[in-house]
Amino acid sequence: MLSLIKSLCASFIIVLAVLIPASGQMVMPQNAEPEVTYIHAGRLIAIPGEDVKTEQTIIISGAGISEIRDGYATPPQGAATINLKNMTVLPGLIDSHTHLLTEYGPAAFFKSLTQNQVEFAFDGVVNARKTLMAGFTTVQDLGGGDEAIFALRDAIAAGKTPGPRVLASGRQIRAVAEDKNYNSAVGCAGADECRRITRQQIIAGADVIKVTLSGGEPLSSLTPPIVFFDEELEAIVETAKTMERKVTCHAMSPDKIKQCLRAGVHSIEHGSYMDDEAAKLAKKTGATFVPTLVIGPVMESAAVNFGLPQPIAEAFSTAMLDAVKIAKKRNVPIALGSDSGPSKHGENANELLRLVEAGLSPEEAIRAATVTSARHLGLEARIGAIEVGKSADIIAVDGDPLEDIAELLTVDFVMKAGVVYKKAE
Amino acid sequence: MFFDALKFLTIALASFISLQAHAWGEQSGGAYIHAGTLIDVNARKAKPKQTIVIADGMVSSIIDGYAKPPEGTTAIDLKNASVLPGLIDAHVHLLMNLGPATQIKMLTQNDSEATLDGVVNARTTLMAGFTTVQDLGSRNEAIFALRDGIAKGQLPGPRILASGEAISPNGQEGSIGCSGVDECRRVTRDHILSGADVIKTAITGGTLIGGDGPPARFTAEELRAIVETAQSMNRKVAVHAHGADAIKFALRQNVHSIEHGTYLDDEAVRLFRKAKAVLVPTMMAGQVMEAFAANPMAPPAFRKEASIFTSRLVAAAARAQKSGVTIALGTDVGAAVHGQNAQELSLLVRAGLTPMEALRAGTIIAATHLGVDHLTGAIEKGKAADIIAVLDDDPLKDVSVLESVDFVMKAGIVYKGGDI
Repeated sequence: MLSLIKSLCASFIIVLAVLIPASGQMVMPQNAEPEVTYIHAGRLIAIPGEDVKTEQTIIISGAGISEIRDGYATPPQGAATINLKNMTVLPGLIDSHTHLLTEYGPAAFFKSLTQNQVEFAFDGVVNARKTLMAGFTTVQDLGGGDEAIFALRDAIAAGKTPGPRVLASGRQIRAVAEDKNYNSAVGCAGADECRRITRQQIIAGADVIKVTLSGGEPLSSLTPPIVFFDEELEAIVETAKTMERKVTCHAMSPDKIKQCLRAGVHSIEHGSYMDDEAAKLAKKTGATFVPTLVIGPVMESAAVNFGLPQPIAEAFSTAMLDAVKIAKKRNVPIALGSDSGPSKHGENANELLRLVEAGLSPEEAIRAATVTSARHLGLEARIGAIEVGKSADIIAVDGDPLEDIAELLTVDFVMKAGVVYKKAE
Repeated sequence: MFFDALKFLTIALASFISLQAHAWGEQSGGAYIHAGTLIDVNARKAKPKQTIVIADGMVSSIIDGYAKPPEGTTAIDLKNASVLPGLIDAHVHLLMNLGPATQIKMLTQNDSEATLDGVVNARTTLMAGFTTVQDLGSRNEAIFALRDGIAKGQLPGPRILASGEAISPNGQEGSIGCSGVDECRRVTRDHILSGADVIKTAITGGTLIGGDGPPARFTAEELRAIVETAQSMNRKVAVHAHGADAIKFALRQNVHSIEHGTYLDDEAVRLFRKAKAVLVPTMMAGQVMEAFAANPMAPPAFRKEASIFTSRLVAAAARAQKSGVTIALGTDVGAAVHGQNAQELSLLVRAGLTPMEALRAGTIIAATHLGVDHLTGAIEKGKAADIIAVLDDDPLKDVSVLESVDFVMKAGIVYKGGDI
């Protein structure tokens, strides 16, 4: 009897789970009429990369965008108005590479040894709020303890705590997990075990599979490379595919980037020493490049702490900028990823500046943080642009980010799924 | 995850820095060594009246003649000495002292006790002129801690590369077992991550007379998986093998060295060259077997073979040497006696090497085999100041004079002969 109740409960939970789409945004049955909001936007970058329009009205019904009108339309009675007439309005930003549970600092290593998953989750609550307030309404979190990050994702989706919409990989999969205490990685050896681990990771809650390969890069020439054999990597990619998940690959050296691409991964994270051959291969396989350039300055400033020779840290930083130039030349899609965790939470927009430094126009950088990231995350139907039918993820700044990308370092207005989290002054 | 990479980098860097602690900056002053004869193992010749300039634990230059040191810099007078690079032993067991109590110790000693035995043996080894060793088979925690403690300068001893426990097909004798390709990959990866600088595998039993002993063999796929996995993590694989079949089997899986190699044959020699593998003949281990031969309780066939075990090993080394197989010096001390490592030089000469070739096997060739030739193995600009000397004798005439060295410096620090 008890088991019957249990299984009934289980199927109810499964039904509910199905109602929660991959975006993590709970679709609540609405009894009352949805709340209607009119945003008067002075300048609107509705779809980054396309023309900027002036004096627009975005009509929001509940969590979604129901209409966009020319001019400042007068709201009907009972509808709220948000005045952003002196602002540039654009879609909520997307960070394709975060680590919400951790932040690099003097205590990070100690924490990694002593904190439990609950404590990590509380740290994540703080970091998630900072991320949202910085204008990032969606993130993909690539590597953190399963329990903590999946719980944080679900709590945000359920509206229990403010934060960006989260897609999460949970533990990364490596050829061997180097630190069992930290609980952020799981190892597998052999195609069979790699299949099993991939399945377990997805059933545990992973929206995406992160694999990590190291070795061959000057930065870690002193550590043993941690690498998969081709058949292991292919097993992970195939298994993820059968369960409708993408695989994203941490790789820095050209040969590891190429190995991942040949195995069919969907994106390369960091890719710091990408060469032309790797970029051509990425173009061919259709993979996205997430360069995480802000790590360069982090390594430069932390080089002393790590005993890393300053020239190696600086060369690493420069190599990353070159990688973006090479990828751009080959038309590889570039998505924004800040690697917040190693970099500071809430300062994710620094990556936009670095992308511009690497040769992207401000417009291209914003595209990387909206349209391209949305497509990379498989959420292009719901986010990445201000369009009818999409989630009302809207931010605003008082200057013109197409002129000066640094305007996005201080976002003045943040709405996620129709809920205002930060009000314009 | 990048954070992990950073953290791992910290740990790895810490051990790298400590590995070279002496070589990079711990030594504030410098020294001028006036060498009566300097043996250049790369040029294969002895040069008279040389000055070795040492700064920050490293050789910063070599000057013809006796250069006068600047004020405040120490001069070390080795004008009556033959000066050569610190010796390297590619096969030791620092935590073991083979003797009547060995088996009981293996069963009862804990890691801490084993480490303390290692502390004594490490000092003895360094004082014998061996500034670098490769330890092939010791308990993980104990040997890795000893290695790191010496690297940090906490206690005197040679620079150590360590395999930790061996990987074997059935986990015999304190080794780690693995069966099947996948498990062997996993075990190899775990082992390297826990600190192994090199992978040691045992594909036959222990010291066996006349062949392979009980058939405890990896399959070709398993051994190949270990080799490929180790290689993917920039580590080499050293294989303990006595019998010709075991040696050839291992070489066909592209292992990097054969340890002992007692019964190698001509086909094995061809495979050595094909695989570019190194032979570490450990002829000193023969002495131990000869001691066993005196045991009246042992079976007569064993006693007969044991009594000639050294000549078996010497014959194997000679056969390999004749055919151009690379030979590195390794003693198996632990089975043989710590501190007597230099006896292997005379055995190498007995196997047909010239004294210069024997010295090269114990310096630059062993350094290259261990992958530390950028750091040691010759007295050259840019390498650690690992320098030994014997007074009034010429090791190029008689290598046995190195069985008692008069001066030992490791990474610029004098451990023996400071009063010269």
